[in-house]
Amino acid sequence: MIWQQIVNGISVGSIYALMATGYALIYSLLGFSNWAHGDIAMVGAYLGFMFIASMNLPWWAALILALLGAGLLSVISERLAYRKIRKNNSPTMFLMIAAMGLSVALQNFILVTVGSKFKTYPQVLPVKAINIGGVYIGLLDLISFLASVIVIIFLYYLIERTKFGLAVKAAAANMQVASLLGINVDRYISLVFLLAGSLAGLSGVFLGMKYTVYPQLGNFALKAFIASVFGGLGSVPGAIVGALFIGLMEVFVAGYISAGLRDLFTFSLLVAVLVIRPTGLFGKDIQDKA
Amino acid sequence: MAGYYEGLLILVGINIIAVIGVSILTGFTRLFSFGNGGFMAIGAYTGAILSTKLHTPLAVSILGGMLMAGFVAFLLGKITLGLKGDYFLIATLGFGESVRVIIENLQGVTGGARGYSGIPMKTDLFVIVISVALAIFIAWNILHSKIGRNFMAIREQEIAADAIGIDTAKYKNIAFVISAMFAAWAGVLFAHYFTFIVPIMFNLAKSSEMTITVVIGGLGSLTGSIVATTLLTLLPELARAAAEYRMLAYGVAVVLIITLRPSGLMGYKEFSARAIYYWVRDLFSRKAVKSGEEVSS
Amino acid sequence: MKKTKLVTVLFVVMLMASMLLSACAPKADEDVIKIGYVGALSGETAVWGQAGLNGMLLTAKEINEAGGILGKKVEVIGLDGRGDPTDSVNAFRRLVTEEKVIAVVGTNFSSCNIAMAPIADQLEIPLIATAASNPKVTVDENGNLHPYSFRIGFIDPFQGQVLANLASNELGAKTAAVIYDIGSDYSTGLAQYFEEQFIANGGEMVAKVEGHSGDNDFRSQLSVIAEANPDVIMVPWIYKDVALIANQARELGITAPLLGGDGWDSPELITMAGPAIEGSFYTSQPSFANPVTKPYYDAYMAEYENLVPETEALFGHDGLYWIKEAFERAGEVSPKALRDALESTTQFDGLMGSMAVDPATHNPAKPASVYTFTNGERVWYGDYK
Repeated sequence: MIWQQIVNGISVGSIYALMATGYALIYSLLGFSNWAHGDIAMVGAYLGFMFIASMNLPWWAALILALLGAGLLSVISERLAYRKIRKNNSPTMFLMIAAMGLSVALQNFILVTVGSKFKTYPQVLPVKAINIGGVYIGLLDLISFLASVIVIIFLYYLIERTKFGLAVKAAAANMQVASLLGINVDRYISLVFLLAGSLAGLSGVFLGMKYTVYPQLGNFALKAFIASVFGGLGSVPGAIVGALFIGLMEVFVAGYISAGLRDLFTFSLLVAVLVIRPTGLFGKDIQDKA
Repeated sequence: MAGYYEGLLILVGINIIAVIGVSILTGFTRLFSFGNGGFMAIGAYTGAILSTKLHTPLAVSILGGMLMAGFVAFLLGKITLGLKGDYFLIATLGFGESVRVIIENLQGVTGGARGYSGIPMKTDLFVIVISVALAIFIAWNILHSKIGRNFMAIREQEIAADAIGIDTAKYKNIAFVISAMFAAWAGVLFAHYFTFIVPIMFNLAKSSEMTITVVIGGLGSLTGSIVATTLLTLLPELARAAAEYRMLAYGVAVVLIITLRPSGLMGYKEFSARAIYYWVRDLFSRKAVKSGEEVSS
Repeated sequence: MKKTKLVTVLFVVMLMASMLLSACAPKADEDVIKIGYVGALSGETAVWGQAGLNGMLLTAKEINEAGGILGKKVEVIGLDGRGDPTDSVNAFRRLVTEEKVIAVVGTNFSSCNIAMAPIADQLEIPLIATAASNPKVTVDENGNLHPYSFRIGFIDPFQGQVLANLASNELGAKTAAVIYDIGSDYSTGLAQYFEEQFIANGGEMVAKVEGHSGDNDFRSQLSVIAEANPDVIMVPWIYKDVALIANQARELGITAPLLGGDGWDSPELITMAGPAIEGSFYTSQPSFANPVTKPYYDAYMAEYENLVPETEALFGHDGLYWIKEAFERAGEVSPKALRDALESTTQFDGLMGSMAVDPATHNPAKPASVYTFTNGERVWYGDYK
C-alpha cells in the first residue's frame, strides 16, 4: 500500500505544484499573495468545460482556449485592480486585500451566473487506471503529472535562459532601477500575469477533470499557497518542492493517522518550519512590508 | 422575547464586539489575521461548557472564554508574531482551521461536528446593549492610551518604532491577545443566543468576513468598523431577495474601496458630531472662498 | 472620548428604535392560513431547497382549488436558510414574528433543525422537518421531547439498520468498511448506526476511515480500505462527495458494492459517477419511483417548465397535506391545536407512504425505499419497514 500512497501523494502534489508555481511567480515579482489565483484556475476549469461540453471543441483546442482565457482574466485583473494600487504606492498588503475581494467576487459571479450545480467534464480522457504491480495510477493523473513536468521545465527555460526571463528577474529585484534601464516594467508585469494565469487555468482544467467543476474549486489554491510559503515565498523551485511535500504528507497522514487531523498536521508543520526558517525552505529574505 | 428584529440587533451587537477586536489588530496595528474565527470558537465552546457543566452565570462564562482565548493567543503570538506579513497571515489562517479540526475531533468534549447543544439562552437585547457599550468603551480607552499610540506607531513604521525603543514584539502580542479576547467575548454571547454551536459557524469564511468588514469600514477607524459591521450584518437580512448578489457585492466593494478609497468608509477619522459640524462649515466656507477668489482675480 | 462613545451608543439605540418601529408588520389576515418553508434556496444544496419550495407552492395551489383548509386559503411563504443553522434560525424567526405563519415546514438538514427546534418550542409554532434524520431534531440529548418539532421522514438509526441488514442478509457480506464525513453529524451518525447493526448481525468492520466534505481527494483513505478488502463499503455522504469517492475507489481497483443513505438521492449522481456506482445501493425516502406519485410528478413538470423534481418536492407536498389533515382533525386554526393534532396522528397517507407518529419521540414509522443502479439507471429495489 505504501507505493500506492506515494503515487497518490505525487499526483495530488503535482497539481498543487502547478498552481503554486503561478503563485510564486507573482509573489516573486510583486511581493504579494494573489488570493484570487485559485479562482482564476476555477474560471479556467469552467471555460474548459464550456468549450468541450457546450461547443464540442476537441479537447486540445478547449485546453488552449481555457488557458488563454484564464491568462487574459489574470491580465485584466492586474490592469484593473493591482496596477492602480501599485501606482498609488499603497502598502503591499492592499494588493492582497484586493485579491481577496476579487476572489470573493469571481466565485460569486460564477455562482450567480452559471449556478452552483457541479459540472462534470465529459469523458475526453478515459477514467481508467493503469495497474503497475498492484499500484493503480489513474490515466488522468499520469497525464496531468507529465503536463506539470513539461510546463515546469518550460518555465525554467523561460526564466533562466531567455532575455524575457532576465527582464523579469531584473524587475523582480528592483522595479525602479529596471525601468530606468529601459525595461517596460508594466508590460513585463502583464506578461507574467498572463503566464501565471495560464498556469492557473491549466491546473484548473486538470482539477475540473478530476474533481468536477464548481465555484469553490479555487479553495484548492490554499494548499498551493501553503506549499509556496513552505518552500519559500517567491521561489519557484521552492514552491514545487513544497507542493510535492505537502501532497505526500497529506496523503500519508490521511492514510496512516487520521484524515480528520490532516489539516492540523499540515498547519502545525508549516508553523514549525516557519519558526525555524522564517522565510521558508528556499525563501528569499524579504523586506518588511508597510 | 425573541422577535425577528430583536434577533437581528443581537447578531449585529455580537459581530460588532468581534470586529472591534479585529479592528484593533488590523486597523490600528496593521496585523492581518484570518484566524479570529478560531478565537470566537474557543470562547464559544469554553463558555458553553462552563455554563452547561458548571452552571456558571453568564459573566463568568464570558470571562472564562476570554481568558482561554487570550491565553491561546498569547502562546500563538509568541510563536508567530515574529513572522513577516504574509507568513503571519497564513499562520493565523492555519490556526483558525486547526481550531475547527480540533473541535471536530474532540467529540467527547465538544460534540464534534454534530455540535454542542443545550446551552442556556442568556443573551438578550439588554445584555447585548450593555456588552457593546462596554466593548466600545474599553476599546476606545485602549486606543487612546499609551498602548494604543504604540499600536499606531507600529502600524505606521514598525522599524522606526523599534528604533525609538518601543518593544514591538510585546505590543503586537498585546494587540493580538486583545483581539482574541474580544472575539471570544462575542463567541460566548453567540453561543448563549443560538443555544447550539457547530464548528462551521466559526470557520475561515467568518474570519475573512471580519477582516473585510474592517477594511470596508476603514483601517484605523473604530466607528468605521462599527458602522460597516452594522450595515454588513443587516443588509443580507433586509435585502433577502438579493442574497445571491450579496457576496458578489462584497467582493466588488472590497476591490473598489481598496483601489479607489483605501481609507475605507471612514478613513482615519472617527465619527463625531464635531467632525460633521466642521465638515458642513467647511463646505460653506469653501464656497465663500471660491467666490472671493473669483472677485479678486 | 465621551462624546464619541455617546454618539456611537446613540447610533445603536437609534437603529434599534427605527427597527422596532418599522416592525409594525401587517396584522395576520384572518382568512388566510400562512405556512412557512425554510430551505436552502441558494448555495450548493439549493437544488433540494428549491424543489421543496416549488412542491409546496404547487400543492398550495392544488389545495386552494379544492377549497383550502377549513374553508380558508393557504399561503406558502418560503425563506432561504442557505443550509446553514444560523441563517435557518433567522429565517424561522422572521417567518414567525414578521410573516406570522402558523407552522413551518423544513429543512432537510439535521444541523439546521437541531438549531431551530428550541426556537420552535419557545415561539410555540410547529416545525415539520422534511429529510432531517438525526434523532436530536425531535428529542434533545437529555432525552426531552421538543414539543413543537416534528418530522415526516425516517431517522438515521432506522436507515443504518436497513442498510446493515441489506448487507448481511441479502448481499451476504461478512466484512464491511466505512468512510464517513467527520464534518457532518448526518454522516457520522449514519455510519455509527450501520456499524452497530452490522456487528449485531455477526459482521466484522475491517476498516473505518474518515474524510471531510470539501475535500476532493479520498484516495489515501480508500487505499487503506482497498488493503482491507471488505465485502461492502458504507459511504454515507452527500451525492457530490459520493461521486468523487466512487470514481476514485474504482480507480484504485476496488470492486465491492457501495452503500449509502438518502444523501445519495439526486439524478446528478448518475451523471457524475454512473459507471462507478453500478451495483451499489442506497436507502431513501420513498420517491418518484412509486407509481402513485406520477400525477404529482407530471403536474410539477408542467408547472415548472420541465424541471425534474427532487424528492424534497414530495416532502413539500406531504408536509402541506399533513398540516391540512391535522387542522381538519383539530377543527380550529391555532398553532397549539395543530401541534396536538400532529402529535396524535395515527394514520396519515401521503405520496411518500402511510405514517403514524410516536407521541414520545415525534418520529414516524415510515418505510425506507432501497434503490440500486443497473445499466446506468436508478432502479427501485424494495421497501423496508
